[in-house]
Amino acid sequence: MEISAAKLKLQISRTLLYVFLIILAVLCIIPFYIMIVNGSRTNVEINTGVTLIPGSNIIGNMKTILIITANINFFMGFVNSTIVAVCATTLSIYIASLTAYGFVFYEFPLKKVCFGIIMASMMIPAQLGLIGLYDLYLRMNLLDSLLALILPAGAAAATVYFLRQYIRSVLPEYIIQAARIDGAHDLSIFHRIALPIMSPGIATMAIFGFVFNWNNFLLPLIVLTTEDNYTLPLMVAQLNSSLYARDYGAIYLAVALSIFPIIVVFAFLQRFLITGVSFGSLKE
Amino acid sequence: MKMQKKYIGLLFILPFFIFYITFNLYPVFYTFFLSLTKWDGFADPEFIGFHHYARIFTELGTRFAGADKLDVPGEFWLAFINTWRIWLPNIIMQLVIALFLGVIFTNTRLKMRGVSFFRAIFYFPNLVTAASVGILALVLLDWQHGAINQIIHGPAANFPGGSYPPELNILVNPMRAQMVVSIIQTWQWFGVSMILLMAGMQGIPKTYYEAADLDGASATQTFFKITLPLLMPVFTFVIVTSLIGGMQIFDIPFVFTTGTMVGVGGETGKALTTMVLYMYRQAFGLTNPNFGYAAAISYMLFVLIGIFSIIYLKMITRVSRGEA
Repeated sequence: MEISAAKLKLQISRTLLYVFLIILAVLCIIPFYIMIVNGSRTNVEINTGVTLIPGSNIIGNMKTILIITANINFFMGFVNSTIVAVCATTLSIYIASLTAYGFVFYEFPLKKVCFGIIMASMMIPAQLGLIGLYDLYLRMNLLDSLLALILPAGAAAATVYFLRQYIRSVLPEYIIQAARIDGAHDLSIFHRIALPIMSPGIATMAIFGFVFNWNNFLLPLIVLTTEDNYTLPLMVAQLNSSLYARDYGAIYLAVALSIFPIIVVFAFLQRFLITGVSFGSLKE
Repeated sequence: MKMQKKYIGLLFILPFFIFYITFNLYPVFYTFFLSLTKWDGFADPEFIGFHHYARIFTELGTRFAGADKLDVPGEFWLAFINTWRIWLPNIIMQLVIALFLGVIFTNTRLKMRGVSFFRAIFYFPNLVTAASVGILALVLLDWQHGAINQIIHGPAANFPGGSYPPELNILVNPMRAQMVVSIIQTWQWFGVSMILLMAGMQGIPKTYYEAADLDGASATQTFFKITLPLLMPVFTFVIVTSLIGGMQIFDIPFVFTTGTMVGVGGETGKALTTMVLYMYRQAFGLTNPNFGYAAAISYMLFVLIGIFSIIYLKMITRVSRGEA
């Protein structure tokens, strides 16, 4: 009797926990669902209350976005954000791969110091050098250019750290030594042998890089001044202006469009992301 | 057998350091130089020594000397308090939820299903652009047209005059507005903390739990005597990274306090001025920009983050020594 009572108790707590988990999951998703539903409704419909059934005004709201943004061009934001996210990610992962590979397979003077600098730089708040960076761009004539958002990605310390750990776990030294004995050059060993073996780790970091650069807000806000150069988050932030006042359907739809690429990335690549996050806490 | 030519390795790491020194290290040092100057972004910076830092510390004195003068200067310290009021409730809620989820997901007796499904859903809000989350929150919280009041209080048509009474405008109240930002932060980050803590919990040897089970330990005892102490390194990682990020919170307070649509101004605008937002406004939001002062704010923030990290680490080592 006692065993079945314990079993019953376990079953009850399990059921309660599932209810809790489902409520929490709904809380995570429902704001986005309401966003999509309201993005397809008219203002009048939105004022009547919340519903889970999409409306039929999605074309109308799309037109409003295009008209209101006639001289800002919301879709230019897509192009700019894509350029920045793709270029910055490519730059950061290529240079980080080179660096991580160098740290694992070579001995050189000041190696420990250099790695220490990379470790230390991960602990420094990103905002610390912002004013100095603005001044640098002012003097380099890089203000209001997308290049200003891409170049800092060349020094992605956390990516170097991750890839260094990754190389150690997937790329045994004898493979590199064998290639050296065959007389291959250092850089071609890196490109032809190391990079392909590292590609799953690189993919993980590329996804994080893409999301990070797509979402970046403070640096573009400081650097970009012409609206044609705005990245998507800057255009989204502008939705809180009198220009859009009272057109809630259009605002919901615009926000939905801005996070659409993130939803796509999440839908297909969330496995990589979660592995990458859990890696963050594991020590050497 | 490592490379004989000992400089080839340096060539591999050289590109990184060129970018690092140019776009990171140099700006960090130059920001410090600028923090010792008066600079409006046009004329040459004028060296004035530690004037800006002196201002911040003088304001610390005036702010805390008289409790009746809470509205006088001390803008930096007001921003400091605001940032903590947003970060602290958020980290507490986040850790409670994340620990609870971690425990039930890794518990061997419960054997919960769908762990990877829930984990993915809980992680999702973290990926979404903070600026978009801010705007979405504003329209959902809009007191006349937003979904939140409609869900809680029913459609506006039910109220006299067909509109919600003013007391349902949650964002007008400064403390509540801070709490709203805090809750949004929790919502965006509890999934990440959960994934990290779960990874830590999975690393704890099962034999410890089996032994506790044999000794007849309760679930609570097991949690406080085994899980929590062994989880300390991961726990510390979560808290310190959250501190570094949380002290720099910018995107959502910026979106909430900029623009006209929802009209979050006045007292709420002041209450949501975090340290980085204050720094931003000093440099880029004034007709006479104050870059030197903004640079000093950046350095103060850096030092404060450092101090709090050290205090926390000291506390942790003392606690764990006490238990050992």
